[in-house]
Amino acid sequence: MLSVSEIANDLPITRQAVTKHLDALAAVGLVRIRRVGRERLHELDQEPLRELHKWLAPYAAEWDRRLDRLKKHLEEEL
Amino acid sequence: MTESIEQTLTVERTLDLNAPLDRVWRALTDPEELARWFPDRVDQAEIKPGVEGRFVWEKHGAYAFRLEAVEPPRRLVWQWARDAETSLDEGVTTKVEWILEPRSDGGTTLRLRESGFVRPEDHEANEMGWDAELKELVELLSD
Repeated sequence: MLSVSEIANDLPITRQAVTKHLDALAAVGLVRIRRVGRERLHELDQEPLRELHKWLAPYAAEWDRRLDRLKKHLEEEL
Repeated sequence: MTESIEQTLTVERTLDLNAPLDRVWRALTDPEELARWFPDRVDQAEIKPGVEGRFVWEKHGAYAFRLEAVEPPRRLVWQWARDAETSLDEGVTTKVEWILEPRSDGGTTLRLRESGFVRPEDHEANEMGWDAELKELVELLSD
């Protein structure tokens, strides 16, 4: 888990901006926040990303079918 | 998992085809050729940027598209509606980009990238404006 300072050190934006973004990410469930003493520690929650990936899978599968047909179509003439 | 948000919401495929560049370009742009592997029919007046048309599937309906970039025989981009019978202005659209590269063996490497997928429930998150820095942040927190 990372503190705001640790994250801000690697980004070209201010500590305040990082905090704001982390709050937004926490609000949509992409970041988990834990308080340890006076510090706030942050951790990525990968589950929503996995859900997005799952949501996209049928579209990817549809392209695989189309591209397969394209390949066969082009090979028919060879 | 190391995928960034951007990759997660994008479909990318690379295909090695045993056909020359011009042949593949024709398969992607000629309405009769497209109908052999993609929709059942293509309604399209011309192949140039800004032209609008429809990909028609007997079973699924007509999907509106607009050609955004036509750079024969290397790059083709269209924007299209995610839902049938919906105009490009009123519905969700995604961008489909094709990149063609000739190979030394006479074949063609074809790259497809469809981007801009948005789930209805993600609109709110997008409106919060955090997605610009999100990619960097996701990578950082993944370490």
